[in-house]
Amino acid sequence: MLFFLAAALIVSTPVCHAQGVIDAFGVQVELVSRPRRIVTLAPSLGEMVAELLGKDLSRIVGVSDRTDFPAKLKQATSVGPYHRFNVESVLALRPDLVLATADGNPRDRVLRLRELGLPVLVTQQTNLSDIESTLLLVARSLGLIERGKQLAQEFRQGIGEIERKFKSEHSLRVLMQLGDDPLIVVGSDSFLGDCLRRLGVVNVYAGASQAYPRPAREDVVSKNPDVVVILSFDENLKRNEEIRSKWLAFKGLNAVKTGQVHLVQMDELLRPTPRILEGLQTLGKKIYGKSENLR
Amino acid sequence: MASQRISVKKTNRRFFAYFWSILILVLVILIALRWGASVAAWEVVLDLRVPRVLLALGVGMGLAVGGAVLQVLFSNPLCEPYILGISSGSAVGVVIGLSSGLSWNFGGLVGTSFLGALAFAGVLYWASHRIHRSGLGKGRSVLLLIGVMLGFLGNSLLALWLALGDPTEIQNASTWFFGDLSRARLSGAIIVVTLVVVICAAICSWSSQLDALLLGEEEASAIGVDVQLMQKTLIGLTSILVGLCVSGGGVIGFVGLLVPHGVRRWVGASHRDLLPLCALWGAIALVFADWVSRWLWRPYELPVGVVTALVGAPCLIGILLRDVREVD
Repeated sequence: MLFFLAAALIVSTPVCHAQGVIDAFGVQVELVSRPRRIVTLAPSLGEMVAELLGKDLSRIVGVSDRTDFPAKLKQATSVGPYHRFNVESVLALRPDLVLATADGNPRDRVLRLRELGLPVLVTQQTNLSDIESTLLLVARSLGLIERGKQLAQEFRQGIGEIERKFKSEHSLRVLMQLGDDPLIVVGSDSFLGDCLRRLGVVNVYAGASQAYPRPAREDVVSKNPDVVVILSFDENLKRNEEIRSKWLAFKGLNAVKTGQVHLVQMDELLRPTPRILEGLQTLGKKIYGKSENLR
Repeated sequence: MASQRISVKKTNRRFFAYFWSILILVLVILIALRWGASVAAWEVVLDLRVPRVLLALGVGMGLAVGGAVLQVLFSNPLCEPYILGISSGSAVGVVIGLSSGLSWNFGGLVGTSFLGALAFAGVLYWASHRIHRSGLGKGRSVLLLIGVMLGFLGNSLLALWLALGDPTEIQNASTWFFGDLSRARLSGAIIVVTLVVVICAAICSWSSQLDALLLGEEEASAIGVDVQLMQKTLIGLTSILVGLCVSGGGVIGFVGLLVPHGVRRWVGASHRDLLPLCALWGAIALVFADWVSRWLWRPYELPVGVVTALVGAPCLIGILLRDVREVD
C-alpha cells in the first residue's frame, strides 16, 4: 500500500525534464525544461529574455549592470558589469540557466562558471542575423519555442522593411566612431558594421581587418566621409560636443560641409536586441535626412 | 648571567613574533573565507574562496621572500621582484599566449607567462655570468640597470600589443596586468603553494650566507662564502619564485617591497627569522588585500595590485621618512 502511495506521489509531482540545447559554439548544455532562476550576463540578453517571458519577469534572478529595459529588471540582483561580472555573485544565486555572450563576457570567467557545474548557454551576435538566431536559441532554452519563432519572424520582417526603406541609388560613405581617445571606429566584420550595410551606406573602414580598428585621424580625413556618426556612451553633453567639434574643425570634410556630423546616444542601437529596429530607423533618418537619394 | 637573560629574552621575542604572525594569518584567512561578494554558502566558500585564499597565500609568500632576497643580493633597499623586469617578461608571455588563443590554465596562459618570466630571468642570469667573468667591479648595479632595461623592453612589447591587439582580449588581460587572483583553481593553487613553500625553504637554507653578504661581498668571501655561486643560485631560485607568483596572480606590486621593510624593522636583519616571517607576512598582506579588493565594492572587484599599491605606497614613504629622521 505504502509503495503504491509513494509511486502515486512521485507520478503526481511536476518534474522539470532535462533538455539538451546546443549553444552558439556547438556546446551541448543540459537544461531544465522550464528554468526558474535565470541569470543574464549582458543587458541585451536581459532585454531579450524579458521580451520572451512577457510578464513573468520574476524568473530573472540576476542581471549584469545597466540592464535597465524593461525598468522592472533594475530590481534583479546585480552580478557586476558584463565585462567583469562576479563569478561568486552568479554562483550564490544558484541559477538553473546562465545566459552569456561571447561579445564582451570574459571567456575565462564564463568557462569558470561551467567548471562550477552551472548550465551556461553562450550566445554570439556579430551581425543582425545573429539576433534572430539568438532569439530562437534563448527561446528554446526557456521552453518558449513558439514565442521565439514569432519574435524572430517579426524581427526578420522589420529588417526587410528597413532595407527597403533606406536603399539608395548613390551610396553615402559613412564613418561610425565609437571611441575618441584613442579614435576607435566600426570596421566591416562587426555588429555595427552590419547595421551600416543594412542601411545601404558604405562604411569607409569596411576593408579593415579588425572589427573595431583604431586609425589615425588624418587617415579618416583622407577618406573624406560624407557622414560621420559618433556613437557615445557618455551622458556628459559638454564632452560629447568637444568630440563632435574635433571633426567640425576639418572644414574641407564632406560631412562637415553638408552638416552631416551626428552624435547618437541610443541604447537601442548599441544593444543587439529586437529594439535595434527602432535604433536603425532613427539612425537611417539622421543619415538620409538631408539626402535626396532616399526612396 | 646577563647573557643568559638576553638569550631568553631573544627566544621569547622570536616565539612571540611567530605566534602573533601565525595568529593574525589564521584570523585573516577566516575573514577572507567568511565574507565576500555574496552570502557564505558552502559551495561558494569551497569552490571559489578556498582556492583564492590558497593562491593569495602562495603568491604573497613568494613575492615577500623574493623581495627580501633581491634587496640583499643587489644591496638595494628599493629592489623588488618587478624592478628586475621578470614580471614584464611574464606579462609578455601572457600576451603571446593570448595571441595564440590559449586559455588560463597551467597548460595555457599560466604556462606561457611562466616561460616569459623564465626567459627574461635567463637573460638576467646570462648577464650576471658575463659581468662576473669580465670582472666589472660594480656588477650588481650593472645587473640592476639591465633588469630595468628588460622591464622597459617588456612594457614596450605590451604597449605594441595594446595598440594593435584585439580589444576583447585586451579587456580580458587588463585585470591580470594589475593583479588578479580570481582565476584561482584548487589544483593550481595547491601546485603554486607547494612549489613556493619548497623554493622558500631552499632559499632559507642560504640564510647564514645572506647574513654574511650584508657585510659586503669581499667580507663574505673572506669568511668562506662562495659569493658567485650564492648569487647565481639565489637569482635563479628567486626568478622561478617570482615567475610562479606572477603567472599565478598577475602583476602585484609593493608586497615584495613593503613586507621585507616592515619585518626587518621588527625582527632585525638576520635572515634566519627574517625570511620565514616575510613569508608569513607576505601571505597575510596578500590574503587581506585580496579580501579588500573583492569585499569593499561588492559585487565589483578591484584589481588586487591596485589595493596593494594604494596601501603600500604611502606606508613605504612613511617608513623611509622615519628612517631618514632616525639617521638625522
